[in-house]
Amino acid sequence: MAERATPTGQATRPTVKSSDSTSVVKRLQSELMQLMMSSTPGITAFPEEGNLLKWKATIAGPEDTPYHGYTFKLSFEFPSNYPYAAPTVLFVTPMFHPNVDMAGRICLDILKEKWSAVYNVQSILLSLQSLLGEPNNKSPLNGQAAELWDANPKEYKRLVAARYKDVDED
Amino acid sequence: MSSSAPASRRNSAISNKSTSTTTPDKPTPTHLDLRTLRYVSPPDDNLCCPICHSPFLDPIQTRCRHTFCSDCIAEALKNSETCPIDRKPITDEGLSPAPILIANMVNDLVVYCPNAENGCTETVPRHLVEGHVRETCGWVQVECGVGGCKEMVRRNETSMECLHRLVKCEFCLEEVRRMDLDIHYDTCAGISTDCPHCLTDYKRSDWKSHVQSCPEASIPCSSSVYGCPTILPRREMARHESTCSFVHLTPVFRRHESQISELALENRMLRRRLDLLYPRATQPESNTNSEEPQGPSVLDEQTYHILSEQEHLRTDLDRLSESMVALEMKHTMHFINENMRVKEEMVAMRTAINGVRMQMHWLLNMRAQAPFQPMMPMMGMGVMQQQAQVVAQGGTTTQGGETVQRRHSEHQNVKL
Ligand SMILES: [Zn+2]
Ligand SMILES: [Zn+2]
Ligand SMILES: [Zn+2]
Ligand SMILES: [Zn+2]
Ligand SMILES: [Zn+2]
Ligand SMILES: [Zn+2]
Ligand SMILES: [Zn+2]
Repeated sequence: MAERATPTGQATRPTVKSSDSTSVVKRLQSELMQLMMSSTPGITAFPEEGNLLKWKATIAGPEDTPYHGYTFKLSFEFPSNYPYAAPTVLFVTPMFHPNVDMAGRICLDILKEKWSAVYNVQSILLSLQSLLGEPNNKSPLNGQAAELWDANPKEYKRLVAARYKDVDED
Repeated sequence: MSSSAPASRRNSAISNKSTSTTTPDKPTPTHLDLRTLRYVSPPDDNLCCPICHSPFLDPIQTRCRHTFCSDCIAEALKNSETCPIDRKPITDEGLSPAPILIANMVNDLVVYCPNAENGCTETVPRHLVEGHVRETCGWVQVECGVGGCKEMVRRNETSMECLHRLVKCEFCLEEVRRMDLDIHYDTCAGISTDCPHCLTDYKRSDWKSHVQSCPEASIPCSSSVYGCPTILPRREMARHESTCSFVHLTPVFRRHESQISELALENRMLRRRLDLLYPRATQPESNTNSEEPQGPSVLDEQTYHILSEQEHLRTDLDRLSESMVALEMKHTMHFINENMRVKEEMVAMRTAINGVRMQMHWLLNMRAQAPFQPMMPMMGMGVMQQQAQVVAQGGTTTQGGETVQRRHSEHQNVKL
């Protein structure tokens, strides 16, 4: 079969592209399509203008958590071997949470060693949403938040509100 | 629909693939990249790989019964030797080709020809697309081949005659490629044209210079800039110009012109100087009672300097406020334009969403009704697409429900 293909070999060349970058793009396009077709309540995500490898997202604080009523902005940066490697996800909105540090970095296993190629933007956002209600207080990035979570919910809520700022960066 | 012949081809494709997966980075120019194909109808979620979100390519099943493209799972295993869905450990031995049914279903998905953007309108089942491009697609560049010609030509433009061979233009005897001959005739210097003014025959090469001097061509009087409205054929113009009063007066006009421009220049300079002196002239007038009678001349240097400075500042201020107004206008315009654009986009999106909604309703209706009711023609856009979709899915009417179920289970998986 290969030998037979050689005479007209050049013929198909225009349609062959480097599959590496196109596969990331294709995958992100299909994710975007899916997000737009089936809007999931409480989360949004959209690429930055002119760069499909950087997205902006928001999650709404879930009910029955100290975060209810706030909307949190996040940034996604996808590596060129996405989905085989996890995207870099940061909270852009200042965040008072046991597993988020002052720079917005997030400690979540599925974004690190537990990453799997079948995860996507939507599943990450849903995981983060549930992390807001169920923090992992065993290995906190923010010790104060981890202590107050059980000890003093009222003060916790006050600090969430104090830290929250609706940043409108661009 | 899918006989045994394509099935054997698919098998050979799979075995080819499994050897090539070891070196996926090697560029293979003869191989068509099936990942870039566009599908005629949106493929069923159940036929899409959970890693690349596209219909399976060489589907592979793990021991835990999950299906992936062979390339996708191979890449994922490089990072972690576990199933990407349930994290059960797997190795290469734990992988086997997916059931032939799945392979057939994805191979029968209808795709656009990869040369669609060049103009090919063909749609073919995916497993036939390589053959289409290799053998029948009219939009592929192939060798001309006539008489050993090595030039490339689109397949649907090949003919018995080689269009690359040089032929002599019968008018100018220049050598031109056969395919360029028609274009050459448009500019061939050997072909003659009639001058539209004097109707005599001229070779193309001579025609341009002839038009500049053709005695029958109409030209305006040389004093038309000073107002003479006469337009006459060139041969009669000399007679007109000898009697035209505009022509006689031309030297006078010229002199006046240069004088006026000189005066305008001088006037501008004087005005500038006057502007500087202006405060000097008014200041004493308003203060006549307190000033000495010879007021205007005694204003000391410093005051004069300050006044002129003030004047400078005032003009600066005027200019600045003017440019501010202009800027604001520009911004407002920009804003309005942007707004319009966004509005238009929103309208387009809305119609697109409506289209999708109608498709969904239609599909839901299909499912709600008896499974094999005859297809009804429906209103609205996308009818063709939906029909194609139904054909492609071959009556898997339960797929919608399964998709929803799968979405739910995905969510449960990701919640820690
Ligand atoms: Zn599995
Ligand atoms: Zn895949
Ligand atoms: Zn084609
Ligand atoms: Zn030729
Ligand atoms: Zn010629
Ligand atoms: Zn003429
Ligand atoms: Zn005249």
